[in-house]
Amino acid sequence: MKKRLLLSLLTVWVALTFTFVLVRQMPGDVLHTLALQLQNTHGLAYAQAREMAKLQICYDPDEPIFSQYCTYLSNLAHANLGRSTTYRIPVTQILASALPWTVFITFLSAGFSFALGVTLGFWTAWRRGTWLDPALTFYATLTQAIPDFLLGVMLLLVLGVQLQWLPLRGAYSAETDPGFNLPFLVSLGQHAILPVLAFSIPAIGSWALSAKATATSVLGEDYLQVARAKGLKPWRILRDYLGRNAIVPLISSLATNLGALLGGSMLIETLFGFPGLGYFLAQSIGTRDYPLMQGLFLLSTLAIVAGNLSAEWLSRRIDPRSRR
Amino acid sequence: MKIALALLALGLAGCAGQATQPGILCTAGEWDMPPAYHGNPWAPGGVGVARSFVFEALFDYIPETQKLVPRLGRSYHEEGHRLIVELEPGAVWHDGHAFSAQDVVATFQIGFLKGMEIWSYLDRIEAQDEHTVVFHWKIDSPTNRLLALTEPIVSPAHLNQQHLAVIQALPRGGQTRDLEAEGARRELLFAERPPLPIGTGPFRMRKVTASDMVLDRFEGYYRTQALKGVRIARWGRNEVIWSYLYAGQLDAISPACPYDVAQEILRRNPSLSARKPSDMNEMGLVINCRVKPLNELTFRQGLAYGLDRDAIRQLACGPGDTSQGLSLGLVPSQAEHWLGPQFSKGLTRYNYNPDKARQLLVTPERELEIMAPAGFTDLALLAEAAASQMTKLGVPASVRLVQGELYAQLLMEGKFDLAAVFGAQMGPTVHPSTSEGRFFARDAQLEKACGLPRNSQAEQWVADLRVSMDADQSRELCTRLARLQNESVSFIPCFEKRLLVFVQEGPRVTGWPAPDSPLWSAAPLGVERLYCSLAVQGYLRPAP
Repeated sequence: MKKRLLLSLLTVWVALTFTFVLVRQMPGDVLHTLALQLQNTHGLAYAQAREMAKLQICYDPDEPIFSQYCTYLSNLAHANLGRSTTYRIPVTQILASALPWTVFITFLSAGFSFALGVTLGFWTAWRRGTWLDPALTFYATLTQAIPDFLLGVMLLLVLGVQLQWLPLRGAYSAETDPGFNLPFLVSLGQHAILPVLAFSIPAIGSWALSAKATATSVLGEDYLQVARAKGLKPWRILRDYLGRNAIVPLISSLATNLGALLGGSMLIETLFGFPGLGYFLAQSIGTRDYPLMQGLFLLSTLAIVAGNLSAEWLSRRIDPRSRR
Repeated sequence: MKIALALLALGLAGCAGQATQPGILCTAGEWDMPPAYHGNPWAPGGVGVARSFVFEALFDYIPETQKLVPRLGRSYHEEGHRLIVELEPGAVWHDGHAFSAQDVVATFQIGFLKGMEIWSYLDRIEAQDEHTVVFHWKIDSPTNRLLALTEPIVSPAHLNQQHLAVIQALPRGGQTRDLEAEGARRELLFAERPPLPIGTGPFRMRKVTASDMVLDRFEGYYRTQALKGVRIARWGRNEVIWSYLYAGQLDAISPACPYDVAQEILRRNPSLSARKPSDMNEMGLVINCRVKPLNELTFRQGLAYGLDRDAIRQLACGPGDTSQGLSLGLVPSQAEHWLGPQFSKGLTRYNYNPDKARQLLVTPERELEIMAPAGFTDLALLAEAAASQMTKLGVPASVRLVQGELYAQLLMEGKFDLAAVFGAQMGPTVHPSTSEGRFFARDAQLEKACGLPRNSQAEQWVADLRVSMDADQSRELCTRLARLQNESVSFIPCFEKRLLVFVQEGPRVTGWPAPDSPLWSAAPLGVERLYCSLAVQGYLRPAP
């Protein structure tokens, strides 16, 4: 495990170095744009406007990139991710505010889609050859083919606009006060349904197909024949014999997927006005806000690495064979 | 099953939460999400769309009637090089502090740091007494009055004392400015981040979340105003706004909207109707005259003859007015006013003529690219339609959508072939110097984009136009600039944009002015500002 941890640290370092260089190679020079604006609005010469712009956004692209990188690493060692050039507040403050929302929505979506998808997959494998089989494949193909954004708009139109069952936007009603109080919690639940559905509807099909495949490979095992011969109820065989053995590789995938999901979905969050990482990622890319972009990419890298580590840890806990 | 039941219960509970509230105006806009949000109107990000409801100017301007409607200013008069404004004595800031002439002075003084245009003409501003403010001009200009009277007053003097003394002491002359001191003071100013803005407007901000802004009626407002509050939804994307309109969740909004979508929205929600005021700008294609074959005038003329602007307008901006083959550097509806009735005399009119276009056009060695800003539905559709028409003419073209910040940069650096842009724009003072300035002023954006050699004579004409108080001289200068612009064919105007303002009569708010009301001509100066003005003027009231 120590070796694995070291490898993970190395992965994080390589990823952050890569993103550090990459974001600076993106087309678009925020300093140039701001300098042109200042030149026009303040009646300055370009050189003066550029100096003023450097001061305003605390970023100097003329500084050698290696020197910038050293400063970045040094600050990182002190848990200082820098100051957003757009919002002029510490990046950590933005991440601390947005992360809980993204964690909330992604964990809820992943948990919901995993539970439903895996149950559906196992049941389909158990009843293979019935109408469930093609129906599941059709559902999975259809929902995977619809782009996330389009699915989100459709949900918004049907459940929010036409039926008016669910609130259209936000994480909670502006009329409630965030905290441990019933109106807020109810509002939180209502507002989570649409984004959770937008994330989950395609994921359910995907989990169900994977679960069906792993369950089918377990179905021929002797212990299942024994369970059947003992006259156990199908639901119990499904849960205790089939499920327990087939779920191991799926749990590993779930942990990895959670890590990737934490990067936030820009489109879904933008569509539902959800205050997560996705919104800030979209804004930071648009405005070339390097410190914020780097902070978000770093968080995403850490989440994926942590997801992989927990997948490995979980599979060791669940499946004794993997400890050998 | 339990989960499904719980979700259903929550969903049904959600229905109750969406009850309409009479007297609350619902609209949409953009602001920085918390924790980035702050109430400092000067700092980047700033107050967001709530600005128009929280702050107010001395007067509201109605361009069509050229009338100034009193807000914080009660009356004004001009004496020589001075503009004297009597202020509303009963006004107070949202924190309860009385509003005074010092607050107006504070706003304009701090505005110097942000490069307010008025300082090109303003010598100084002084508070004559508690409720009288005097603007002293160093240069007379036809825009002076509007620049002074329509600027929102955003800086309470009692909260900005620490900046004012320093800013007043800063040297103002072009060559003697102390940029370092200005920058340092600006940073200090930007660093202030009150959680919510404090204004004098009829609505006071109560709460900001990622998805909503909640503003309540300011009970200390100096006039009677019937609306109980304003709710602003996050704009997000145009598709989201169309959904909200469909659902009847917005009372007033002006999104970019294809014609068929607008028709469907109006059909599905009969309580909505549309107002279509001119946006005082013209949309079209700026041509990069640096690159082959666009550096050839005949090729550009061929394009100008070859584009069916009416078809482009129908696709990109249904309510707009198709350009009539002239590029004047002025919004077409204002052309006669500023150039006189014979304004097209002697100018080449590039009416749609595909045969003539084919004679002038040559097939380029490569596919041309039309750049359009992502997220601007109308400009993107304009580019799509133009690319399709060019390809049919034998000039293969495709569209490249580019993100906002990058778009402006690529435009200024000339890294494009053609680009869908706003061309002539009359600006908040509705004066041709702003519009022509976009093509010919020093560092003009469109001149930089098209890459034609800088014309110092035209630059001087724009400078002269800015300060010309003589109608005949202004007309002469406009005529010269229009001729220069039209014959260079560096910009192909497609249509004068008209806003599509959807307004909903009930169930929350009623009293929207009729479609032909001159009040709508104020929409391009800030549509939210107009909504607020309508509330203050007593037009808008709670639905029964």
